[in-house]
Amino acid sequence: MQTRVRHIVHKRKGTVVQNEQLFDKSVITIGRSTDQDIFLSDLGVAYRHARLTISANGQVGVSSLSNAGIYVNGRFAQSGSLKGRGEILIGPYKILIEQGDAPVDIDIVIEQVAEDIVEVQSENMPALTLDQTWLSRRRGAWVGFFLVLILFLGLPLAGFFNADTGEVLRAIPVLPGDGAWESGEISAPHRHFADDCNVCHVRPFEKVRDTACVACHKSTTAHADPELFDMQELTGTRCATCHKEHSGTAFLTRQDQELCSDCHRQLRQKVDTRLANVEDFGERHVEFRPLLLTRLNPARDDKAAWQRIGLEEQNLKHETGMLFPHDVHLETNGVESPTGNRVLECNDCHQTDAGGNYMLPIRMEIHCQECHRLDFDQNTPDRQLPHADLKTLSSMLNEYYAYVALQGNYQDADIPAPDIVRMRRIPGKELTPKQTRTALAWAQEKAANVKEEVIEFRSCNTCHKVLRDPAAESGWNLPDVHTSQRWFTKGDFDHKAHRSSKCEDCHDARESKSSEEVLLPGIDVCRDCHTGGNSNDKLASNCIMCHQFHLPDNLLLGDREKVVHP
Amino acid sequence: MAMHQSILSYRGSRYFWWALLLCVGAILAYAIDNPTMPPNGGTWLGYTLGTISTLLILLLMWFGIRKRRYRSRVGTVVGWLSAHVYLGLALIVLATLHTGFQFGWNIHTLAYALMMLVIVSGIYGVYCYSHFPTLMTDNSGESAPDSLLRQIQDIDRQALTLASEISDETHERVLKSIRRTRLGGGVLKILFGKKKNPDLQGLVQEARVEQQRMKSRDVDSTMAFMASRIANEREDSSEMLRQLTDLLLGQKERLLEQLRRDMQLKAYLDLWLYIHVPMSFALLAALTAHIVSVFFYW
Repeated sequence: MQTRVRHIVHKRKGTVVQNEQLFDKSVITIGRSTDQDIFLSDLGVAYRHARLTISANGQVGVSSLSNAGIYVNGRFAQSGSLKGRGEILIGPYKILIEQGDAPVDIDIVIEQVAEDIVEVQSENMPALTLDQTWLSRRRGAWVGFFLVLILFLGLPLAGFFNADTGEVLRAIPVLPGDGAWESGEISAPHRHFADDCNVCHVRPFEKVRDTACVACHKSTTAHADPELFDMQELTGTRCATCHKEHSGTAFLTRQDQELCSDCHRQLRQKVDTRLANVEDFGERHVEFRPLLLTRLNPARDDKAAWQRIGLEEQNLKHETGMLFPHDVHLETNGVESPTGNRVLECNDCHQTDAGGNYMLPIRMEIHCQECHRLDFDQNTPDRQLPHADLKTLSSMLNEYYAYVALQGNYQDADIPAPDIVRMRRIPGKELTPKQTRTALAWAQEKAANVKEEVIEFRSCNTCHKVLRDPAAESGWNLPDVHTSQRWFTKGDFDHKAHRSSKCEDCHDARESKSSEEVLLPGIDVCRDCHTGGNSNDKLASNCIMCHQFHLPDNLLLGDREKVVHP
Repeated sequence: MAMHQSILSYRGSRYFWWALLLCVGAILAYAIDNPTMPPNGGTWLGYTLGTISTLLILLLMWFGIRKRRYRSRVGTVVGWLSAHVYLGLALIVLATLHTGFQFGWNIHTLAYALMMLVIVSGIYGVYCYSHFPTLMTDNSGESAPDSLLRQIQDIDRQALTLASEISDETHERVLKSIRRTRLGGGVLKILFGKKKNPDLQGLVQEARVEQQRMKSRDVDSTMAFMASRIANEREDSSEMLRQLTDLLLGQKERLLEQLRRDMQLKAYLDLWLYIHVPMSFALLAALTAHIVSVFFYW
């Protein structure tokens, strides 16, 4: 086996000297001792440092004879085996072992790569600062940046633009889909479709449109007549301006006064309206304007008879069609009743509906008739006439007196009846046709008299403004009664919320002599407790405490007067 | 002008006052603001605070670029760092008010959490910069790590020469010890270091045995005389061994210990940056996702 060893030495002036040795043996020794085959003089080499064993097949084995060890192909080792090309590092020397060109079998090139072993050591120094380790701020920054960007922007966007990807993302809880974008808990009523952001968020970078809301909330009414006004322009709001999603389980609705006052403080300057400019309940709000009937018994098509009139007007009156003095009924000594003297309280007649918000209408049969009986004949005091039905009343009187006339034995205190009416009937004896005619003629006249008396002088006229009207079928006209109603058509008043107050705190009924008097409290009464939405010295009351934004359904019908008439 | 001016008191702490002004302004605005809905990032004040916070974050991150622009005349790096610290602290107030104290498992809170992580690591960084440099000076004096390294290399060379004169065995041992001298390495090694060099324990043992032999020689004076020639030689060897142990176990270990401590302190000084910098870039991404998402699903 021929082994050629070339030792390359770099001289100071840049010249290179090459010493060449040839060996024809299988074991070659390396060391600092002069008896070694390959002599390396640096102190970084032991006297007998290593041994090369060359096999016939060209494989070169290397083993360290020194504790100091050697580097074989860059790795520290005590021994190793090289095939083809390899590199050994001993002290500051690099020993390159290659297959040689014939006739040389193995070619070894030795080159000093550092000044000494100390320099080699310092050049191969491991990391001394964190910069030199695997730690890297720059790499960390890239990884952090793209990880977050891909997970929390890339994936949700992919889900938005590709529905299938979105489905997958929503199905796998660990992966952040657009759910990771949720800015806050969704409200309880909307939970059932909360997984799908795109039910509401339809187009990117566009605020949620009202169409998304109205798709389900079909019956929600507008703020004003959509046929007359462009809602968007009029209110300048979207549903989401007031109704805030993603604010927790409770669905939040804007309640602040500015929501309304931004427009309503100068509404008249903006639109053609009969509504007054208002801004603050405590500071700038018109006197209440209840809906009042200005004419007694108006014709059906007389819409002008109904007017909203401010409570500040003098001689305010509401044509109830009734004659009802509150003062008499509320006498502290009480009123006479069939069961004796009775002290009446307001709620003996004025009772709220089941919800407690509004007052039920006054009903003659329930509230009045116990005292104001509709009896008509002293012979039958328990018999009463029907209320509010002159036609039935007429026929009932006719039938009643025809019956008593034919029955006989009728005793009339005031105007004596004909004998045939007063006479007791003898069993088995029938009236002659003449007697029958006489009796029935009396009955007809009596019925007409009683009717006139009841209507005009005794019963109806006690409470109603009775008008004689020859054109009417019955001969009289009793005006429609308008007592309890929704006085405030633009606002809501809830009696239930005020039940701790006494009725007379607001309604001055004890002194009222006529039912035409309007007993509604003015704004000053309310202001005793309520103040504007932005004040806090009293109960801060914003607009929607009394007013609604979504106005009643019938507003949508376009017939504004129809709204006014209850 | 003082040689060293703390970043915290730069120009009468002018950025401290700016930051304080920002915080007080934001808190006042938050207190006065009476939004129609519960406070959140989507009110006008919320948008304002969010915009200011975003601009601040970009400005704070620009510090990483500015400090590398040695020719820039936009303020001084010390000034920028001072502003970086104080405005970064102000961000805690501004961004927290921006949230309206609404948190959840979402990108928005992630961005906030990352920001807080960056700020807290930054606060720790300020502590590091005020604490470790003093310890480093106490440890290695004015010697730079490079100078320490060179001193160690000189000792290694002296030791090799000395060892080669004692015996082949000693030389090999020293050679091995030089090769196996451990400095630094992995992150944990740098942070926690390594105390003793086991390869030199043999050398210590050798020196001890040699001393023992010297003592026993006194006991038998005849033998001592007989072996005087050898003993003379041995005396040299013993003296050289003593020198060698002094070099490697005394001077070199001391220097190594100093260097390791220096590395360790430098690592402590820098470690927070490995959180601060990557997390600030993660924050930049989260902030981007936050801003895009809130307007994407407006």
